[in-house]
Amino acid sequence: MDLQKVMNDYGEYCIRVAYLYVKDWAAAEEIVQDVFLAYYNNHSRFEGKSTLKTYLVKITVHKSHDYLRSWRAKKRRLLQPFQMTTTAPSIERQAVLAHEKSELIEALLELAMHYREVLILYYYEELKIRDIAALLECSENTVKTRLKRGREQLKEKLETSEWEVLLHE
Amino acid sequence: MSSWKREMDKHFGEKNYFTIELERKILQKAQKKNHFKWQYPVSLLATCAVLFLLIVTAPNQKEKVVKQATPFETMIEQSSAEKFYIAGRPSSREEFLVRDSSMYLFTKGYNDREFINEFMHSMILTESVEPRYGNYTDIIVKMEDGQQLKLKVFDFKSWLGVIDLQSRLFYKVEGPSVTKFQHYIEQAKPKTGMTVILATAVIILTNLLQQTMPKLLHLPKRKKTYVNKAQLVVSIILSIGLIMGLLLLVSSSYIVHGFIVAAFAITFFGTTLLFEYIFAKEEKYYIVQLMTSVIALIIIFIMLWML
Repeated sequence: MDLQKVMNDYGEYCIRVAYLYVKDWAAAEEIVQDVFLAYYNNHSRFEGKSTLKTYLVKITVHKSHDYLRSWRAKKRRLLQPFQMTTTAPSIERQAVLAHEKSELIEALLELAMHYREVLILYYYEELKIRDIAALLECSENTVKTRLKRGREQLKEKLETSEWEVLLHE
Repeated sequence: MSSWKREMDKHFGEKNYFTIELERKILQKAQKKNHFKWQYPVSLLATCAVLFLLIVTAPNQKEKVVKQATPFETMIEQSSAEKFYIAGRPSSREEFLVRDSSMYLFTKGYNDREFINEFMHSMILTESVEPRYGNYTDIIVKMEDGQQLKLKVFDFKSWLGVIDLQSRLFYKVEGPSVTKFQHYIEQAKPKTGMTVILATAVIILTNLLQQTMPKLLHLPKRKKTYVNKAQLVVSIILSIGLIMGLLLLVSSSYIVHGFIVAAFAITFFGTTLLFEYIFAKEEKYYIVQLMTSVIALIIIFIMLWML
């Protein structure tokens, strides 16, 4: 098994998925390390029933859940408001950041975890509802309900024009 | 590609978040992780060694025969017997296989005061016909004043030969006490049939639980019993340790306290559970292992109680 090739093919994708879960690039890096090490140690258990990409995404989702449940993540969340940045970005940089930051991502990251993850899995991973239900170990109806509620909450957060664009996908 | 995906990819941009440094770090860790996990079998071996030493260095198993003369007749005149313990296993001339507690394996305690006092009063001092070879039954008689009598009994079928271990004097018992004592010896013998049934029940029940529990708990199906080589190694070592321990415990010259066997069983199942958790935490099969261990321990405790 060529771990390097697997990482070259799917590393970037997995780290982005992890980020959408944990909203922190440093944590996403840790998660993606765990994902590839878990895959490396147990690759014989990959039966080839799904694509390797889906398999890795599944591990990423589980690892992200583990991270979010961990004491480390809770501590980080708790201390975040008290952490002071020593160098504030310049006005120009702030303007660039504001422009770069998509409204959709902003709104998505603000959603509660169980709504956010079904939206990520459905729209970004392009998984079927049946597969999401299997991955999250819940019923298809639960996934559908979460998707519906997630979309509703997202709609409230987004401007009408942007929402209409998304509806046309 | 959906507009969602496009929008998200646009947000992430062209930048590579999965850097070369990160990739190198993972490769380094992977190479390290590939090494054989020697810590597990070594720690396990150490556990087995500790258990083994614990049993071997346990209080003197073969109690030496004390040859100081204590007047047995005076003792039974001064006080009366309140309890007696019979060894379930036969002993040789040199060993004494009974202790003054029913908590020891193969030891049964009885409160039949009337019988034991009658038995002791029917003991008549006679010329020794102590057989050199053969199976003796060891008994300890607890007196009301706290003294203890250690006796070895030889069954001559129509009468009983009794040796007082302290004076080494030989006594003969005849009459109704003989049949009753023979009955107690039979009662104290380990119930092999029931033990075999319970042991089979442990094997069948644990297998059944391991088959049905994953389905009931909706756990993912396991292709292999062991998730990796390290777990297989650990399981083999554990099984060897268990078999060795059991052989040692049931060997004829050991008098084992029930707590030692209980500790042994708990250590075995606890370690199996711990390693199941370490190796396959994500599969949640440790829940199945936990349930199996609890059921097995309950049956083992019933078995111990019956011995």
